[in-house]
Amino acid sequence: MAVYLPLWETVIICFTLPVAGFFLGVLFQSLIRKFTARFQGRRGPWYIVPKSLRPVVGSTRILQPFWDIMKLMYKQTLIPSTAQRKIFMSAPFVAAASLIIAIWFIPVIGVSAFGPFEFSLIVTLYLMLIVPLTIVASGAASSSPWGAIGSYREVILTLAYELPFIIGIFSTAMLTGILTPVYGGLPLIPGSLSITDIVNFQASHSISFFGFKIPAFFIILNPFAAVAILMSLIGKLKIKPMDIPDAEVEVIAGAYTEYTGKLLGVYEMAKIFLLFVSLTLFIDMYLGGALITVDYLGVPSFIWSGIVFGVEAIILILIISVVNAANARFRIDQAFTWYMKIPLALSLIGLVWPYIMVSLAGAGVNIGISIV
Amino acid sequence: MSGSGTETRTVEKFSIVDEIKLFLKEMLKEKYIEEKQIQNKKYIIRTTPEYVKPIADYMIRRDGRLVHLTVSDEGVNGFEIQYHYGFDHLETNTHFIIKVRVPREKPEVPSISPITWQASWAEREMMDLLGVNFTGHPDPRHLFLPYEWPEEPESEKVDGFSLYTKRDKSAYYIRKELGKWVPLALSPADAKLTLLPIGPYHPMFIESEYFRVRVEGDEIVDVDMKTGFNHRGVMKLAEQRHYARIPFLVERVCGICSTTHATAYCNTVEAMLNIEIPDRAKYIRTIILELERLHSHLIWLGVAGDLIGFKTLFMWALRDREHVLDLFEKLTGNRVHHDIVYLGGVRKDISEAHIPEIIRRIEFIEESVKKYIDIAYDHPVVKARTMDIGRLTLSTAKDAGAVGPTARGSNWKIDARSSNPYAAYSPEYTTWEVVTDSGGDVWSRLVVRLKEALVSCDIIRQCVERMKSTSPDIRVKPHLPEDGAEAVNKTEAPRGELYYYIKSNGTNIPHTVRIRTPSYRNDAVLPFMLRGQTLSDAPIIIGSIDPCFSCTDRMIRIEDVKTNQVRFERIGDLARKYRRA
Repeated sequence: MAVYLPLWETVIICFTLPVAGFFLGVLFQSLIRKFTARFQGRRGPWYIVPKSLRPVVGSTRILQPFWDIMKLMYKQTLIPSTAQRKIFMSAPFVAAASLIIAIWFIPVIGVSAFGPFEFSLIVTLYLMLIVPLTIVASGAASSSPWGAIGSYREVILTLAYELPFIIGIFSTAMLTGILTPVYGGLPLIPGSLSITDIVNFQASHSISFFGFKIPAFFIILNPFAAVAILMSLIGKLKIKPMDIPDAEVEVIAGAYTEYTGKLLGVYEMAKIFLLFVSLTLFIDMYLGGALITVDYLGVPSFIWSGIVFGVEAIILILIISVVNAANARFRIDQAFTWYMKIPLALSLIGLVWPYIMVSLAGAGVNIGISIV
Repeated sequence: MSGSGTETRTVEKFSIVDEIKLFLKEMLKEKYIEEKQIQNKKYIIRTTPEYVKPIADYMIRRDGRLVHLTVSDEGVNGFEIQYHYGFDHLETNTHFIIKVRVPREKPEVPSISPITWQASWAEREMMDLLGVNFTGHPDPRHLFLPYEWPEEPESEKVDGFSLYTKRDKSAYYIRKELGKWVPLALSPADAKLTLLPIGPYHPMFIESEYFRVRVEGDEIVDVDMKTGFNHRGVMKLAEQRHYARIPFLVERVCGICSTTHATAYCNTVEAMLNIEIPDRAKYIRTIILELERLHSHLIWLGVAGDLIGFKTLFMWALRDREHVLDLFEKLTGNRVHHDIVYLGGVRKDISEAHIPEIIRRIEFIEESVKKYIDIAYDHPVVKARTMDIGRLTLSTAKDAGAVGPTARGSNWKIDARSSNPYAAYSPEYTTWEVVTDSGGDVWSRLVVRLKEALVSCDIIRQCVERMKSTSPDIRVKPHLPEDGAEAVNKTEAPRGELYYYIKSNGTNIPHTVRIRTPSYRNDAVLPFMLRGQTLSDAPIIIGSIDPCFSCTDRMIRIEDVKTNQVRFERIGDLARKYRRA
């Protein structure tokens, strides 16, 4: 059964974790910008002005995405007279709220309000799916032809990446159920759908990976699903080959075309939350949730967890930035075909991979990986 | 080059020039009025308006190109309508200029647009600017003027609605209130079609242009386009300036290919004066022109990358272009408008001290361009977005009159640098090959431009090497052209063939200056490429011709300071009014 934190701790986490998540998301976003700028060989003013002027132009503005949003909050909000007012105005708030609730269900370095809930993984998936739904609704409600095209592209792209994403997530969640019985000698039983259980499983088990004893990261136990999920996240986050719904030269800003001021600011906040939720979910599912339970060198374990979380997040951001910088944009039909070919195939392999591992282990074949 | 051409040609058995002349003499008989040869193999033939259509029919069937169609205002003598037919893609330098005169009172001439699409835009332009009526034009809407422009200039009724619907039956727009266009409900027959406006202001364009795209689902069914948002009247301005000031005016036609305009103008005036510029000036002109082509192709590569969402390519291409701009600053003193080409030569010498830097930077750019060619050949997403997109077949390119890399991407070997050598492009100065590709799609145009950039690097290197052994003269002194002298000349701008026609009236101000820019032609080809493609591909297809809408457009907007009223007038009407006064 799920074990929850005391009520007051839960309440505090419910308030502080979204705020911390927002600023971590801002940090991730500015890191993506910085990495992409380096890959593109861009030289900002800091490198060009004389050294004496450098303090004036500023070297790094880590909080730049935050100031971008704050600027929008001070701007006038215009709503088209032909728009469906209720849907148009509520959509960004629904998107941001659903992601804030999603943060309650996702453990960050093991800290979570409702993570131990038995179906927290399913709740998170549903809450993350609300975001594309609001984008589709707002584009259609804005009564702009570009908004309509943006919505149509968003629908197709969501259909394309959700399938490998869901299959990949569930094939990973099964690992908690399948691997235990193999080494405990029991037949297949369903795994846990609680994210906290998944994180704790990875932290409490270790695997022998070609002789090295490392924590039981699911990215090693099911790499196919992990790659499929990463590919789906690129579509979810609108990273370069998949930024089709808001391609500015083709459809102005897609569903966001008629959005201005505070409403656009709330959408930008939702994008920041989505980045944080996606990366945290990936770390929880495949990289052990950055959870360290031992106080190494006398330093408290949560500091170690924080460092590990930061390193893992930066590696993921680096991968995302490389993909963002190295690609042109697909057409929507090409993106759909690509998702139906590679990530879906990988996630289906990921779905059967636990059974293959079980069969191989049962037959006594050494595949280099074993749980100890 | 010039002069010796005619003597060597007479030993050939039966050249295109003789054949065409013979045919025209047979057809026109006593109407074959006057024949004059201006410069090398450029012939002027005068006839009467009823023979315009048969001549056009013959010339197009003989594989000729209608390079330009223009009207010169000859005062009491009426309007002189000129048809510039080019055969230089078959035989070097060959051009025929057919001239007909129509009276000012009834300026009417049969339209040749039903015969060739190449005449369509030019005739519409001349209907706008000078009020000459081309009867039988299939699409007589305004080209540069707004659609709501009154048909009768004297009429006080400035009601755009009646005019617009009369001229364009397919329009789904009504003017609800002044200045605001709202889409009208579609008729049941067209209910599945959607009309989308691309422009005049759109993230895809740097300049303003209006495409009306009719889509069915995601597929483009029909395209209509409207130009004229950047019209500045450069040709009229040039007809009010001293010869010596015009090079700096025409450089402002385009912000990217500025030197090629000045070169075309100076070449034309030098041809009128029949002077030969020093070799060193030729090499310097070529170096600047080819650097300009590098600059233009690199900036195009960046914009094309941006249009398919490849921001990194955009940033890299603009970083490399910075090297060219730095070179421009060193060599000419200016980064964008160089103002180095001048009548009779160049204004500034390239010293020995600059040469190592030119070589060094050209080598860097060459390395980068080779990398971009690898990207074009290997990057899966770039290939997916450009291959089999916006296909232009060779026959369509010829019929519609594509020029420059757009035509060469369709495997048409047409290049004014080889067919009409100027500066140091002829074989005795530099050796190089025209780059073509047989695909006809966006990818072919991309590869053609990139390979052309490599050719440019090679030409610059040759020029820098051979410039060392020339005499230090960089300019000969020009004088004023005599009365009635006229000349045509063309250069290969980065976007294609740039055509100039100048006529003198003996004063220090030219009587007529006509400019036909390459984008003027390639824009007219766009609808042929866009039909049948998806809306997502529209930006890269429009971008693939490297459109320069400032070049294409040349409205006069008059604001009454006292009453704060705004009125619009045709340039031709204004000219007529002032002439009467």
